[in-house]
Amino acid sequence: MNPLLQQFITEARDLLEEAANGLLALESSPNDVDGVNAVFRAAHTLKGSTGLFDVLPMTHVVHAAEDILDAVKANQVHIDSNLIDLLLDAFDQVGIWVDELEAAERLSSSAGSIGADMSAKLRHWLAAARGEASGGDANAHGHQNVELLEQAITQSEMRADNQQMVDMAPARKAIDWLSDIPPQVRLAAYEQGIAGHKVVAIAYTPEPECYFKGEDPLGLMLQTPGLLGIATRLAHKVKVDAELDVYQANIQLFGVATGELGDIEYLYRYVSDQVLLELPEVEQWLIPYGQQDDDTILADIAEQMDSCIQRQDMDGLVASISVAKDIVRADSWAANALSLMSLVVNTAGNHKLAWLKCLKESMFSGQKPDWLSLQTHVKPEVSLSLDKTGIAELQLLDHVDREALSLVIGLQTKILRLPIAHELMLGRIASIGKVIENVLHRFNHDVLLTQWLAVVSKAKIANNSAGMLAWLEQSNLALTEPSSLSNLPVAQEIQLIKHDAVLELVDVQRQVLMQSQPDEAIFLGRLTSVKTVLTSVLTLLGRLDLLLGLNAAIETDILSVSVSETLGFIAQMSLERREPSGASAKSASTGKSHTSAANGSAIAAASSGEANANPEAAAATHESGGMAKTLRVEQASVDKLGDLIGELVVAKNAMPYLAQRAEHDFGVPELAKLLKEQFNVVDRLTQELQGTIMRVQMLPVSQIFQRFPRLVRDISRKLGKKVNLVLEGEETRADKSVIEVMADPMIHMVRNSLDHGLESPEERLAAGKAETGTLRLKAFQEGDSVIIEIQDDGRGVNPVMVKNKAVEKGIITQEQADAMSAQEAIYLIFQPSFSTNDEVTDLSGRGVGMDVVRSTIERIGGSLRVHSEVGKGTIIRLSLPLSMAVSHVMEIELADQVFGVPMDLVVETTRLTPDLIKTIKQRETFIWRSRLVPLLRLRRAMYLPSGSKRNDGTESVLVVRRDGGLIGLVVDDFRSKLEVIMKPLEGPLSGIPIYAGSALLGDGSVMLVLNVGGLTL
Amino acid sequence: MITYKKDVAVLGERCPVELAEELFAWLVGKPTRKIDASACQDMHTAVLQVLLLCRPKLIKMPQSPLLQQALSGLIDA
Repeated sequence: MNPLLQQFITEARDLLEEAANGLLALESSPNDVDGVNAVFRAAHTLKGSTGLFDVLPMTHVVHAAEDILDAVKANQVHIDSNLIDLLLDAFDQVGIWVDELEAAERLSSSAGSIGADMSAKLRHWLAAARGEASGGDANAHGHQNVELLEQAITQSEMRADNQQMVDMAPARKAIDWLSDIPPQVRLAAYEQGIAGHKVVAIAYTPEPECYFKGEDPLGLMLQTPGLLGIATRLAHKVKVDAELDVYQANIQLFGVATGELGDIEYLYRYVSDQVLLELPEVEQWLIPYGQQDDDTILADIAEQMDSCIQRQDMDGLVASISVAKDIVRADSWAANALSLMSLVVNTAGNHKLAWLKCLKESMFSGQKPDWLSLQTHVKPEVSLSLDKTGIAELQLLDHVDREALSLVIGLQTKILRLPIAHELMLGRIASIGKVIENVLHRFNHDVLLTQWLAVVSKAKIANNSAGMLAWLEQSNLALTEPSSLSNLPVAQEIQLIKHDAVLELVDVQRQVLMQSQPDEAIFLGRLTSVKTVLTSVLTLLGRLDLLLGLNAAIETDILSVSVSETLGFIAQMSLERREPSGASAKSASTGKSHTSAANGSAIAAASSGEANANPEAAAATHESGGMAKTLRVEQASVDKLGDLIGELVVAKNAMPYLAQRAEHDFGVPELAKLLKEQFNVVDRLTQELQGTIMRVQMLPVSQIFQRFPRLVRDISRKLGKKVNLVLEGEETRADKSVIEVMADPMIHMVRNSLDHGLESPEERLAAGKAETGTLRLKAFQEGDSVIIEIQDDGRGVNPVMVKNKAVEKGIITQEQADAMSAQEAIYLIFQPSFSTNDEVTDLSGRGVGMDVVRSTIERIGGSLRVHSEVGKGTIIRLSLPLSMAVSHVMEIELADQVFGVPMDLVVETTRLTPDLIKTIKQRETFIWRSRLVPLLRLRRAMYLPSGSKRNDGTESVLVVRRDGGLIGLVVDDFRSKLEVIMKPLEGPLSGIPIYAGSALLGDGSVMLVLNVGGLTL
Repeated sequence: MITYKKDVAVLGERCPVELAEELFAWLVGKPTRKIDASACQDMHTAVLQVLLLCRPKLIKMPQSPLLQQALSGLIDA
């Protein structure tokens, strides 16, 4: 998968979670301004990132959600549970799309309609809510502008309106290709224009490599909405011989269309830098064609017409035209001009006379009508242009500086051309002004600098950047004039100096940011310009991986109206750079500032492909920069590492046996000694390894806990209960595998507490409790275990009811029930197929849940205790191993075999004389610390041949915890405590309940570890 | 798909980008060779560019008015 997309997916999930958590927090405290901001920020950042990919439905939904949040921020609408439901649904849908993106790298075909529905729903809600509340305020307005800007820049939604286009356009100029358009198309365009429709002139010059990108410019142009006609020509003259590469695009396409400007822009959104859209004045379409006639004939007629036009004698003019038509050759230039004049007489309004005059001139001269001369009245008055001295100064530059300056100017020109909201214009002018100013300053171009400053100040006064744009275009033209580039420099040198210019740019961006803070509008314009420049720089350098970071930094800054994030990002960019290689001598010698010289070399290295092509170099960069603080590694490789270390521990444990054999079987005690010494070293290292991998595999409990706010909210709303969820100790860490396994059981238990434990508000009030119940999830570490407690203050488990139910279901007999203590009865809820609730809801009560919970916990070597008081609530306490990697077991001997018992269940080892064992109701029991404890003969329970190892008649008894009570296990003998890597049993063996798993011992033998909970009494 | 006859190349209904190279090879340096574009409905820009470069005589124009306009530069000369 494309790494950028990969990164987006990860970040999108984080952002969605942030948003969802924020929304839940808002439900309890709807007036929390920071909370609203947090959710808004998440949505906003997400929307920005979606613009980088082809995921329009996602962008639209997030955008709609963002607008609602914006309205909430502005206090136009109020947040309530319904709104939160709606927004959560929207973010859930986006989450589903993120999953789709991960699976297929694109959205499913239904995404479009789902997205449209969803965003329509959101927008509808907002409209309705706004209708109730009062109208918008300035704050929201300001924000919309930021958005407008951004949309233009990410090109995710190009909806710049015509007004902006015209604002952006430089002084209106001749469109030389209009005469290439077939005459009938020009006529059609004129008619459309006269009828009041907008006619767009499209000039498309595809980049030379476009065919290699699979583009078909002609095909694209033929799709233009409202296309009236087209024309084509070669972009430049070339020598046509067999050597010519026909796959280098060398063509220009022109189109005339009546479609909406926005639609046309949208069509060309991927090639917007190669397309120029213009709105010619309607008379510009009037161009005669054909061969010019002998002008002696025309002289007379022209004079006659002149006088008619002067006298505004239309009838006379029409008569002259028809006379003239008979004289001139059909289809000649003059004949055409005459036809156009008739057309104008019949169609044009106020401008008629001026146009006729112009056409008459054209008819007479055989030259295209000089429409521009008529347009002085509509030209913007900004026309401070680059004068000769300036051009001379530019031309004096050597090719290297020229290249550099041209790059900077080109970028700034591009920024200037982007559509922008009127209010932000000043910010952009100031920012671009500063960029160019600094660059000129560095090149010591005093004349140019003075001119530029004048241009900028004029633009500021007029709040119109047209003058700047014209100036920049002229400069760029002067810089890139082909003639002056005849002595092309070595390609590498150009590359190098480009980097230098890039650095200059980055550095300048930094300076721009560090200027004193102007008002907000200017500031936003400034930030956006910086963003565009840096985006271009990164794209130029092929560092797409940094784009998201940049985006996030700028987004954050825009929202917080600060520059710290972006500055940090720029600083980080600099950090990543390396010491210069020999090639960068030039950049150092040009006497640039310290920063840029250092930066230059790095960028040179990066974009010359070295860093990209050489992963080691890239890695080195990271190290030297001290960047990589965290490393995302695939889970599988960490698991594999953990497994290998486990194997290593077992292999290591074989060494003492080897030493023993060396001493006893082979009679080389010296070798045995050496082996033992070596074993100690290996032992220490493996222990360290084990500790390290364990820490790597530890995850915070919050991984499980974080899903509960949403779950609890949804369930309690469904059940009509009021619940306050309290999370404690989320930072407690446990082994990844424990955390993973625990997620489902936790959900079961939480559902149970909500469904069965907590009462409805009425019930609670009737019982004299607070209306809102409390569900507390608490995690903490205790010794080698992680304890998780689920505590509710609900009605508690009623042992009498539980017993009745169990008898009714045939789980226990009435006698058993009578003999049970209240505490034991509570554990009946963990019996398979036990359900106390008659009504089966979709939440719980299906009788699958709690027994699965218990078996899961026991399988991973944990234990579970319940404490419940009727009317007061229930606490379920789970004790889980910190790590599943290493288990502590106690070795016991049974019929000459060795078994393990999980150490955390063992309470005590003891020996009983026969007289201490009492039989009550056919069960052997004994009194242990004044408690009656049942006795279980393990040999019998495990169908092993009966017998005893001891001949003094005493029994070895292991007192272990089970179901909140104790039982005594009669074994042959105890052995030592052992650390083992326990593996669960697989295949058919996994169904045997009495074993928790197996472990490999140092001598290569296998030990089975007992599952005390699985033993039948 | 382009069918090359003795000195006329007959353009097929679709002329995708791959055909540009062979058409160019066939046209270059042979000013007498001609084009019959009457069947052509879909011409890739690269093919159009080859025609603009070599300027062969068009003995039959395409049906589509827009394609005709795209090729109009060849007729005026």
